[in-house]
Amino acid sequence: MRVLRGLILPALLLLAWEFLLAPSDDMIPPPSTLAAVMFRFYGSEEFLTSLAASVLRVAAGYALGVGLGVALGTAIGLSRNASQLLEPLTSMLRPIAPIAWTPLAIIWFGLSERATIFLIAYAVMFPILTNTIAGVQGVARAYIDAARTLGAVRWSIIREVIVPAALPAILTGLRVGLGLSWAVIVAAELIIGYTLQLGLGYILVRYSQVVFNVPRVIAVILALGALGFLTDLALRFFERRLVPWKLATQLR
Amino acid sequence: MTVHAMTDSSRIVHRRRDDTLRLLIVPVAFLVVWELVGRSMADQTILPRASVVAQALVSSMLSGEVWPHLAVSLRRVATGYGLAVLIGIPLGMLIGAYRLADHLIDPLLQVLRPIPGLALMPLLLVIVGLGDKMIVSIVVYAAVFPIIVNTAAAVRSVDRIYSDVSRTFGVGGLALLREVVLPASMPGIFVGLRTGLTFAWMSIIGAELIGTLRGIGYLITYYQKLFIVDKVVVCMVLIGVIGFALDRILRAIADRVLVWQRGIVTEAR
Repeated sequence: MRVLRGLILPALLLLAWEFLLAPSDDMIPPPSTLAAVMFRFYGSEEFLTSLAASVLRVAAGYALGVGLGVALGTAIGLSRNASQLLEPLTSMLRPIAPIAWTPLAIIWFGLSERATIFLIAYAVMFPILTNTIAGVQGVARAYIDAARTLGAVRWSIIREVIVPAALPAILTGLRVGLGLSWAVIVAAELIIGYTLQLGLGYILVRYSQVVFNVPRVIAVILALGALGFLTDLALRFFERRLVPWKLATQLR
Repeated sequence: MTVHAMTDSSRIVHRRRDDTLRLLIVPVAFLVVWELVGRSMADQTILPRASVVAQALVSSMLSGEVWPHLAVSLRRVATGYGLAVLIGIPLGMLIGAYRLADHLIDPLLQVLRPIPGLALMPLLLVIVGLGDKMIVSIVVYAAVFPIIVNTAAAVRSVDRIYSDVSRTFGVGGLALLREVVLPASMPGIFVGLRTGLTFAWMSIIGAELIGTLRGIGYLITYYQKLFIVDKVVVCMVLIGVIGFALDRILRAIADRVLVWQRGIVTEAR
């Protein structure tokens, strides 16, 4: 029942597009022809190699950003010295939108893979940093005291008490960061992709400014949405596996 | 007693001064390291030194070359963000308050939400054409989802007792939404408003990198193409400062609006 209701609005929109919008505008193809073109395009080598290129860039940048964010966040969350030293620096850099680094990244790394990876790592790092700090600082004192009473040393307290307790917050940061990384890869590839000749953002530029092909543009936009949705779904799956207690306390 | 109080307060003052000193160490050290690294580099253009950027900042502010671009960007953000608020809060309340609306609209939102706003640029190019309309549309798209999602979540989690009590007093329907549910969900709505504003400011930079000849996003790419690196950094500093200021303004408004909430929080502590 619920699923059926959810389909009503998208179905109405598609019908309006098919019968009202598309006939009155020759730039925009109706969904029926669009679907056929799209699926053929999804099977093409051009799409698949670009998809692979974008996914690899996101994966590399994301891994780098997660590593830095969790490590720095844990350090800042644990030590007053580290937080007083690093906090001013991160709060200076945080408000600068990741996309605003694009020109400087191009100057530093050229129109290259490294520039895109830098941009994604930078964008991903901040939400993970913020959430890790909050998570680590929010660990109940009693857990740490209990572990100490049981004879745990500093390292094992960090590894076995603090990190697991901060994990729900860290995972929230991971999800926000993942969403950002898809937005940033599009921006980066819209600008840099032209030189790299690969990537979903590059296809967008190519088929909207060089060769005109609206169905392919729409295909890529939907693919980007699906990628964002599926990778978030995967993270939520891990979240449920890693921190089952978090969802147990949430209503929905 | 008074002596105690005095030493205590002077100790606090001391500690505060220590803290501000410590907080200043890193930014100052950062600037010094930046300056030294910049000086030691063989190619002076890649990383302009802190002092060079400071000079460029002053000169571009005095010459007025940045102001018109900043004004254009801020106007676009204001328009787009304003529209996003006008769409997002009512829609979010609808979804949060009525199960039927939730079931009807939520799946569509879940499909659209993961699509990055900038990816829509090529399509918007076809639909609305180049220029302000396209940029404002991207800002609306970027800002509206966090506002809808947070508003809906906040409305959903309003304590059942509030609506029960209101109904007992004969308040229902729109009046209930406006007088009880909206104020009760304000803290959550403000979370969405803040995220939305951050996204709006972020997306305007991206949208202006392509497809316009005005705005701070255009200016920064213009300097990059001419390889005037110090001015690129000046633009980044301005983008950061304005992003920070916008967030602070919204937080100040939230503090004003949510005075009652602060009371509750401090009492709870």
